[in-house]
Amino acid sequence: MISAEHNPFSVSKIHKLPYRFKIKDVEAIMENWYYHNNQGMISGGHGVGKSTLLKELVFVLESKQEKIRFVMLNDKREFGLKDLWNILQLDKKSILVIDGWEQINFIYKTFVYFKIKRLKGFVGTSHVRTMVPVIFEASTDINTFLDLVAQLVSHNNKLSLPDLRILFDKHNGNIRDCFFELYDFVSDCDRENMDTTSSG
Amino acid sequence: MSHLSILLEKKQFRPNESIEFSIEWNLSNVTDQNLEIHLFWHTVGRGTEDLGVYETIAFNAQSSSGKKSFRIKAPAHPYSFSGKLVSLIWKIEVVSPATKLSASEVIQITPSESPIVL
Repeated sequence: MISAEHNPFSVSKIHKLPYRFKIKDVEAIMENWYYHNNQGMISGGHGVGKSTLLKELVFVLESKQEKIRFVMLNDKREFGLKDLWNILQLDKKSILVIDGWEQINFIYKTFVYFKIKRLKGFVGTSHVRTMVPVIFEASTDINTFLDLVAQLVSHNNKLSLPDLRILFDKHNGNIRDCFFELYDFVSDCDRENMDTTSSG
Repeated sequence: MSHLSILLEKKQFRPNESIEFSIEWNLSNVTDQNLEIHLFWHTVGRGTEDLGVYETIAFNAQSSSGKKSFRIKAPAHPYSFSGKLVSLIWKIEVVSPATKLSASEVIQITPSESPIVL
Protein backbone atom coordinates (compact mmCIF):
# COMPACT_ATOMS: atom_id res chain seq x y z
CA MET A 1 0.00 0.00 0.00
CA ILE A 2 1.23 3.49 -0.81
CA SER A 3 0.29 5.94 1.91
CA ALA A 4 -1.38 9.24 1.07
CA GLU A 5 1.69 11.37 1.78
CA HIS A 6 3.78 9.32 -0.65
CA ASN A 7 1.21 9.16 -3.42
CA PRO A 8 2.43 11.47 -6.23
CA PHE A 9 -1.19 12.16 -7.19
CA SER A 10 -2.29 13.52 -3.82
CA VAL A 11 -4.24 16.76 -4.14
CA SER A 12 -1.54 18.80 -2.42
CA LYS A 13 1.02 17.82 -5.05
CA ILE A 14 -1.40 18.47 -7.90
CA HIS A 15 -2.24 21.91 -6.52
CA LYS A 16 1.43 22.85 -6.75
CA LEU A 17 1.35 22.43 -10.52
CA PRO A 18 1.01 25.76 -12.26
CA TYR A 19 -1.56 26.24 -14.98
CA ARG A 20 -0.09 25.42 -18.35
CA PHE A 21 -1.01 28.08 -20.78
CA LYS A 22 -1.44 27.45 -24.45
CA ILE A 23 -1.40 31.17 -25.11
CA LYS A 24 1.52 33.45 -24.48
CA ASP A 25 0.99 34.54 -20.88
CA VAL A 26 -1.55 35.59 -18.33
CA GLU A 27 -1.24 39.23 -19.38
CA ALA A 28 -2.99 38.37 -22.64
CA ILE A 29 -6.00 37.12 -20.64
CA MET A 30 -5.85 40.23 -18.49
CA GLU A 31 -5.88 42.43 -21.58
CA ASN A 32 -8.99 40.61 -22.73
CA TRP A 33 -10.51 41.25 -19.32
CA TYR A 34 -9.70 44.96 -19.46
CA TYR A 35 -11.14 45.11 -22.99
CA HIS A 36 -14.45 43.80 -21.65
CA ASN A 37 -14.59 46.50 -18.95
CA ASN A 38 -13.06 44.26 -16.30
CA GLN A 39 -15.71 41.57 -16.74
CA GLY A 40 -14.89 38.07 -17.79
CA MET A 41 -15.57 34.39 -17.46
CA ILE A 42 -13.17 31.49 -17.83
CA SER A 43 -15.15 28.84 -19.59
CA GLY A 44 -14.46 25.15 -20.10
CA GLY A 45 -15.40 21.61 -19.24
CA HIS A 46 -14.84 19.72 -16.02
CA GLY A 47 -11.30 19.18 -14.79
CA VAL A 48 -9.53 21.30 -17.41
CA GLY A 49 -7.86 23.72 -15.02
CA LYS A 50 -10.32 26.62 -14.79
CA SER A 51 -9.95 26.96 -11.02
CA THR A 52 -6.17 26.72 -11.25
CA LEU A 53 -6.08 29.46 -13.86
CA LEU A 54 -8.49 31.59 -11.86
CA LYS A 55 -6.19 31.44 -8.82
CA GLU A 56 -3.29 32.63 -10.95
CA LEU A 57 -5.36 35.57 -12.22
CA VAL A 58 -6.30 36.41 -8.63
CA PHE A 59 -2.61 36.35 -7.76
CA VAL A 60 -1.96 38.88 -10.55
CA LEU A 61 -4.80 41.12 -9.34
CA GLU A 62 -3.62 40.92 -5.72
CA SER A 63 -0.11 41.87 -6.82
CA LYS A 64 -1.67 45.01 -8.31
CA GLN A 65 -3.14 45.76 -4.84
CA GLU A 66 -6.68 45.16 -6.00
CA LYS A 67 -9.46 44.56 -3.46
CA ILE A 68 -10.65 41.01 -4.08
CA ARG A 69 -13.71 39.16 -2.80
CA PHE A 70 -13.30 35.45 -3.63
CA VAL A 71 -16.23 33.04 -3.57
CA MET A 72 -15.45 29.40 -4.22
CA LEU A 73 -18.38 27.10 -4.94
CA ASN A 74 -18.58 23.37 -5.58
CA ASP A 75 -20.92 20.49 -4.90
CA LYS A 76 -20.05 20.72 -1.20
CA ARG A 77 -20.25 24.49 -0.91
CA GLU A 78 -23.48 26.07 -2.14
CA PHE A 79 -24.15 29.72 -2.81
CA GLY A 80 -26.56 30.96 -0.16
CA LEU A 81 -28.34 34.06 1.05
CA LYS A 82 -25.39 35.07 3.18
CA ASP A 83 -23.10 34.96 0.13
CA LEU A 84 -25.57 37.10 -1.81
CA TRP A 85 -25.80 39.58 1.04
CA ASN A 86 -22.01 39.85 1.29
CA ILE A 87 -21.74 40.45 -2.45
CA LEU A 88 -24.43 43.10 -2.43
CA GLN A 89 -22.47 44.95 0.29
CA LEU A 90 -19.30 45.17 -1.82
CA ASP A 91 -18.17 48.66 -2.70
CA LYS A 92 -17.41 49.84 -6.22
CA LYS A 93 -13.66 49.41 -5.67
CA SER A 94 -14.03 45.67 -5.25
CA ILE A 95 -13.37 42.91 -7.73
CA LEU A 96 -15.62 39.90 -7.30
CA VAL A 97 -14.23 36.45 -8.14
CA ILE A 98 -16.58 33.47 -8.29
CA ASP A 99 -15.28 29.98 -8.94
CA GLY A 100 -18.22 27.83 -9.94
CA TRP A 101 -20.71 30.30 -11.39
CA GLU A 102 -23.08 27.50 -12.47
CA GLN A 103 -23.61 26.57 -8.77
CA ILE A 104 -25.63 29.78 -8.28
CA ASN A 105 -29.37 29.49 -8.77
CA PHE A 106 -31.19 31.63 -11.33
CA ILE A 107 -32.70 34.08 -8.84
CA TYR A 108 -29.45 34.77 -7.02
CA LYS A 109 -27.64 35.04 -10.36
CA THR A 110 -29.96 37.87 -11.37
CA PHE A 111 -29.01 39.85 -8.31
CA VAL A 112 -25.31 39.11 -8.76
CA TYR A 113 -25.44 40.17 -12.44
CA PHE A 114 -27.00 43.44 -11.33
CA LYS A 115 -24.28 43.99 -8.74
CA ILE A 116 -21.20 43.09 -10.79
CA LYS A 117 -22.00 45.90 -13.23
CA ARG A 118 -21.44 48.27 -10.33
CA LEU A 119 -18.15 46.80 -9.14
CA LYS A 120 -14.64 47.52 -10.30
CA GLY A 121 -14.54 44.10 -11.89
CA PHE A 122 -15.65 40.50 -12.01
CA VAL A 123 -14.01 37.26 -13.07
CA GLY A 124 -15.41 33.79 -12.69
CA THR A 125 -15.39 30.24 -13.95
CA SER A 126 -18.27 28.46 -15.61
CA HIS A 127 -18.97 25.25 -17.47
CA VAL A 128 -21.58 26.98 -19.62
CA ARG A 129 -21.86 30.23 -21.55
CA THR A 130 -23.26 33.12 -19.56
CA MET A 131 -24.05 36.79 -20.14
CA VAL A 132 -20.53 37.63 -18.95
CA PRO A 133 -18.04 37.66 -21.84
CA VAL A 134 -15.67 34.72 -22.07
CA ILE A 135 -12.07 35.88 -21.67
CA PHE A 136 -10.54 32.45 -21.95
CA GLU A 137 -11.73 29.04 -23.05
CA ALA A 138 -9.86 26.47 -20.98
CA SER A 139 -9.20 23.08 -22.47
CA THR A 140 -6.78 20.22 -22.20
CA ASP A 141 -4.96 17.93 -24.53
CA ILE A 142 -3.13 14.66 -24.14
CA ASN A 143 0.31 16.26 -24.29
CA THR A 144 -0.53 18.61 -21.41
CA PHE A 145 -1.78 15.65 -19.39
CA LEU A 146 1.32 13.58 -20.13
CA ASP A 147 3.55 16.46 -19.14
CA LEU A 148 1.67 17.03 -15.88
CA VAL A 149 1.95 13.36 -14.99
CA ALA A 150 5.66 13.43 -15.82
CA GLN A 151 6.13 16.34 -13.42
CA LEU A 152 4.26 14.53 -10.66
CA VAL A 153 6.16 11.25 -10.99
CA SER A 154 9.58 12.72 -11.79
CA HIS A 155 10.96 11.40 -8.50
CA ASN A 156 9.41 7.96 -8.91
CA ASN A 157 11.23 6.25 -11.73
CA LYS A 158 10.02 2.80 -10.76
CA LEU A 159 6.35 3.71 -10.78
CA SER A 160 4.27 1.83 -13.30
CA LEU A 161 1.14 3.54 -14.51
CA PRO A 162 -1.79 2.53 -16.69
CA ASP A 163 -1.92 3.63 -20.32
CA LEU A 164 -2.31 7.39 -19.95
CA ARG A 165 -3.75 7.94 -23.40
CA ILE A 166 -6.52 5.45 -22.78
CA LEU A 167 -7.12 7.02 -19.38
CA PHE A 168 -7.36 10.51 -20.91
CA ASP A 169 -9.86 9.35 -23.51
CA LYS A 170 -11.85 7.41 -20.94
CA HIS A 171 -12.40 10.60 -18.92
CA ASN A 172 -12.97 12.82 -22.00
CA GLY A 173 -10.07 15.07 -21.13
CA ASN A 174 -11.16 15.63 -17.53
CA ILE A 175 -7.71 15.74 -15.97
CA ARG A 176 -9.08 15.94 -12.45
CA ASP A 177 -10.83 12.59 -12.86
CA CYS A 178 -7.72 11.17 -14.50
CA PHE A 179 -5.70 12.17 -11.43
CA PHE A 180 -8.27 10.60 -9.10
CA GLU A 181 -7.99 7.31 -10.97
CA LEU A 182 -4.19 7.51 -10.96
CA TYR A 183 -4.27 8.17 -7.23
CA ASP A 184 -6.34 5.04 -6.68
CA PHE A 185 -4.13 3.00 -9.00
CA VAL A 186 -0.91 4.05 -7.27
CA SER A 187 -2.31 3.67 -3.76
CA ASP A 188 -2.74 -0.04 -4.40
CA CYS A 189 0.79 -0.43 -5.76
CA ASP A 190 3.29 -2.60 -3.98
CA ARG A 191 5.43 -0.11 -2.09
CA GLU A 192 8.62 -1.99 -2.98
CA ASN A 193 7.99 -1.16 -6.62
CA MET A 194 7.99 2.53 -5.98
CA ASP A 195 10.79 4.88 -5.17
CA THR A 196 9.45 6.72 -2.12
CA THR A 197 12.03 9.49 -2.14
CA SER A 198 9.58 11.83 -3.85
CA SER A 199 9.40 15.39 -2.69
CA GLY A 200 6.20 16.50 -1.17
CA MET B 1 21.82 34.73 2.49
CA SER B 2 18.78 34.68 4.77
CA HIS B 3 17.58 31.40 6.13
CA LEU B 4 15.48 29.87 8.88
CA SER B 5 15.75 26.43 10.42
CA ILE B 6 14.11 24.34 13.13
CA LEU B 7 16.20 22.06 15.32
CA LEU B 8 14.59 19.11 17.10
CA GLU B 9 16.32 16.43 19.15
CA LYS B 10 13.47 14.06 18.53
CA LYS B 11 10.43 14.07 16.25
CA GLN B 12 8.07 11.62 17.95
CA PHE B 13 5.92 12.85 20.81
CA ARG B 14 3.04 11.57 22.85
CA PRO B 15 -0.12 13.70 23.34
CA ASN B 16 0.39 16.40 25.99
CA GLU B 17 4.15 15.80 25.98
CA SER B 18 6.44 18.82 25.93
CA ILE B 19 7.87 19.54 22.47
CA GLU B 20 11.25 21.21 22.80
CA PHE B 21 12.88 22.78 19.79
CA SER B 22 15.10 25.63 18.70
CA ILE B 23 14.76 28.17 15.93
CA GLU B 24 17.87 29.36 14.14
CA TRP B 25 17.73 32.40 11.93
CA ASN B 26 19.85 34.54 9.70
CA LEU B 27 17.95 37.54 8.36
CA SER B 28 20.45 39.47 6.29
CA ASN B 29 19.37 42.97 5.27
CA VAL B 30 15.94 42.53 6.84
CA THR B 31 14.62 45.36 8.98
CA ASP B 32 11.42 43.56 10.06
CA GLN B 33 12.71 40.78 12.32
CA ASN B 34 9.33 39.48 13.47
CA LEU B 35 8.96 35.73 13.23
CA GLU B 36 6.01 33.41 13.79
CA ILE B 37 6.04 29.79 14.88
CA HIS B 38 3.07 27.59 14.07
CA LEU B 39 2.26 24.14 15.35
CA PHE B 40 -0.33 22.83 12.94
CA TRP B 41 -1.68 19.76 11.25
CA HIS B 42 -2.79 19.22 7.70
CA THR B 43 -4.22 16.37 5.70
CA VAL B 44 -2.74 14.91 2.56
CA GLY B 45 -4.42 12.58 0.16
CA ARG B 46 -7.13 12.10 -2.40
CA GLY B 47 -9.44 14.86 -1.25
CA THR B 48 -9.16 18.53 -0.50
CA GLU B 49 -6.57 19.44 2.10
CA ASP B 50 -7.70 20.34 5.57
CA LEU B 51 -5.64 22.30 8.05
CA GLY B 52 -5.75 23.26 11.71
CA VAL B 53 -3.40 25.59 13.56
CA TYR B 54 -3.03 24.47 17.17
CA GLU B 55 -0.70 27.18 18.44
CA THR B 56 1.08 30.27 17.14
CA ILE B 57 4.01 31.98 18.83
CA ALA B 58 5.02 35.41 17.59
CA PHE B 59 8.39 36.85 18.59
CA ASN B 60 10.86 39.44 17.45
CA ALA B 61 14.30 38.07 16.69
CA GLN B 62 15.89 41.39 17.77
CA SER B 63 19.04 40.52 15.85
CA SER B 64 19.91 39.58 12.30
CA SER B 65 21.05 36.13 13.35
CA GLY B 66 20.61 33.95 16.38
CA LYS B 67 19.06 30.93 17.99
CA LYS B 68 16.26 30.59 20.53
CA SER B 69 14.69 27.63 22.29
CA PHE B 70 10.99 27.03 22.69
CA ARG B 71 8.68 24.59 24.35
CA ILE B 72 5.12 23.77 23.29
CA LYS B 73 2.79 21.23 24.83
CA ALA B 74 1.71 18.67 22.26
CA PRO B 75 -2.05 18.59 21.76
CA ALA B 76 -4.18 15.70 22.96
CA HIS B 77 -5.51 15.18 19.44
CA PRO B 78 -5.71 14.62 16.55
CA TYR B 79 -3.07 11.93 16.29
CA SER B 80 -0.71 11.71 13.33
CA PHE B 81 -1.74 8.88 11.05
CA SER B 82 -0.91 7.46 7.67
CA GLY B 83 -3.57 6.01 5.44
CA LYS B 84 -4.25 5.09 1.85
CA LEU B 85 -6.83 7.80 1.21
CA VAL B 86 -5.68 10.39 3.71
CA SER B 87 -2.83 11.02 6.10
CA LEU B 88 -2.70 13.58 8.90
CA ILE B 89 0.64 15.28 9.37
CA TRP B 90 1.74 17.52 12.23
CA LYS B 91 4.35 20.18 11.53
CA ILE B 92 6.27 22.89 13.30
CA GLU B 93 6.81 25.85 11.02
CA VAL B 94 8.67 29.13 11.41
CA VAL B 95 7.83 32.01 9.10
CA SER B 96 9.21 35.46 8.48
CA PRO B 97 6.12 37.42 7.37
CA ALA B 98 8.27 40.21 5.99
CA THR B 99 10.39 38.02 3.70
CA LYS B 100 7.99 35.07 3.24
CA LEU B 101 10.92 32.85 4.23
CA SER B 102 9.89 29.71 6.08
CA ALA B 103 11.09 26.37 7.37
CA SER B 104 9.17 23.41 8.71
CA GLU B 105 9.73 20.03 10.28
CA VAL B 106 7.33 17.12 10.39
CA ILE B 107 6.72 15.65 13.83
CA GLN B 108 4.68 12.69 14.94
CA ILE B 109 2.11 12.93 17.73
CA THR B 110 0.83 9.48 18.67
CA PRO B 111 0.12 7.70 21.96
CA SER B 112 2.82 5.13 21.26
CA GLU B 113 6.17 5.30 19.51
CA SER B 114 4.83 3.41 16.51
CA PRO B 115 3.16 5.47 13.79
CA ILE B 116 -0.55 4.88 13.24
CA VAL B 117 -1.10 3.19 9.89
CA LEU B 118 -4.69 2.81 8.73
